[in-house]
Amino acid sequence: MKEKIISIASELFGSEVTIETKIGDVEKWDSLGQINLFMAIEAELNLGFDLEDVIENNSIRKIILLLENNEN
Amino acid sequence: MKIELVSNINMDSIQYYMKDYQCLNSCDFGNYMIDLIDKDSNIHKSEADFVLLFLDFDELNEDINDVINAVDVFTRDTGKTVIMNTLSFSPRYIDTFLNTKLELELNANLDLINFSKKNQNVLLLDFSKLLKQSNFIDEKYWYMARIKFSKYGFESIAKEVKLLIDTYKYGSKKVLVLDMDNTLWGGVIGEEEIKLSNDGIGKVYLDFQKKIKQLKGLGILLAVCSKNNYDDGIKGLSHINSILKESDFIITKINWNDKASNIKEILQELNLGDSSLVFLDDNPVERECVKKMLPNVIVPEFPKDIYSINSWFLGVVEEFFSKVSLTTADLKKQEQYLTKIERENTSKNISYEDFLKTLDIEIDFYINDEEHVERYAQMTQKTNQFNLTTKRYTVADTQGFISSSSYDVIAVNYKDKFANEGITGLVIVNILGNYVEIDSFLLSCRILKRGVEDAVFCKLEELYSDKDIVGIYMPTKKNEQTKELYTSHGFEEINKNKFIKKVK
Repeated sequence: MKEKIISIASELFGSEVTIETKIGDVEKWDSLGQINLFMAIEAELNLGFDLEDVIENNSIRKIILLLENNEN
Repeated sequence: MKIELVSNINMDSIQYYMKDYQCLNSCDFGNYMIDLIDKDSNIHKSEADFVLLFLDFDELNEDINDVINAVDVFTRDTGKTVIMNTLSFSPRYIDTFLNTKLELELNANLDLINFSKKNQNVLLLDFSKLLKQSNFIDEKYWYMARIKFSKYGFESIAKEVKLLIDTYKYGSKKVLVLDMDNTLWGGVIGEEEIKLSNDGIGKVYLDFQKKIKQLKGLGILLAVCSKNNYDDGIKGLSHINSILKESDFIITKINWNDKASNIKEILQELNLGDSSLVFLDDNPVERECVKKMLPNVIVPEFPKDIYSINSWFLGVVEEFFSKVSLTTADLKKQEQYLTKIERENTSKNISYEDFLKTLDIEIDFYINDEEHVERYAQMTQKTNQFNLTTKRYTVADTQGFISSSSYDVIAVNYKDKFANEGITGLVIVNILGNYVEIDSFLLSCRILKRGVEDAVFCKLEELYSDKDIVGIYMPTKKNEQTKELYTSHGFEEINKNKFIKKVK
């Protein structure tokens, strides 16, 4: 899961992303990038999240936690 | 490369899918009509050469003809190229079977198509085609953030825009080279009854041939490169059901040589670079061989499932043979290349002298003729390769030589059975007492290696039969090929690069 999310984010933003990366750390990860990241994750993993989740989970670590909780 | 994004909805997300481009946002979406017309707007001053004007029909408040007029003004003022989309409502209508939305779409799109045909700076991409893909629209993010399309939607719009720009900038590939057995038909010709018919798997190949023939109609050159006995291959193309006939192919390489060598020959004969050619073959070994030896040739994977060959081929055509416009030159290309190949074919198998005889060359000389003086000056300015002294003269200079009694200006008119090339050679001679000096001697590249030089020297000896003839070679980076001209025509070198032929 972790690798998948990192690879989706790196691909989308065209920069290197790690588990520590959060909104604002790479050029393209701004508020529009945040939405597009969730659009990409939802499309790739065939999931859907609420608006609050999309806005709040603005780091790779938080997103991975969100997905793990979602699995349980 | 920079591209301006202009839209009546939020299309900013496309930047994540157009990685090689820098997407600029010089005008905000409420204002695009005014910005298009206003000469002082940021988008007028933008550095980008291309503007993507994406219009969402559901959200469009303006009349499409007002938009068209604004774009027309914009392209004329700025010279920028504007990419527009055909208009489609979201695929679910509230008026199903009343077809009012459909009618609106058809009318608006007809206007757009006519506009893009008239205005060369406007390129139109067919959005309705993209919209047919599944999961294109994302309703949640539309309401959340006014972002209408899904990741897949943006991906395919971005891909189409990039393809359109590439096609516009670089044009399409020029030649499609095809294998025969199990590519143009099922089975191996000469060994079995081939499958090419109106039913079953035979129909797959028949439809494939139809599409190839249509592509030829768009000005793409076709060639065969196949390992068969020549007669067998030709038999396949004369098969009763074969849509592609021998005459549809500009070149047929049907032999047992390796395919990379054959393709090299095809490129040489057509005088094209290897990046202008696409090669289709069902055999992975042959594909690999061509890919290895000619890395710039496009060699698409061939579908394993033969029933999908037709849709696969349309994908190949879209990627490599798309065109933004069709010119009459495109359609005449076939004939032009055929003439050229005929000329070159004649040159094979016979001696060069014999070949020249078959060209029916006619050479005429104009001596001190004032009518073409501009052409003479132009030739001195432009000719680099076959030019002994590379002296550049103006029209006035040339006129001066013609008027002067101490100079002769001798022009060469060349014609053969294929073409009248017109005035393509020029000699300026300085008459100095008991000898003449060749001040300039040049021939256009188009008529080299046709024995024209020999005819020129004959003419000079005839004109100055009582004088010695002196020639000078002034080396440049480009005229190396004329270094030996005088010595190979009976001149003696008297000083470095100065030659003489004594009167007999």
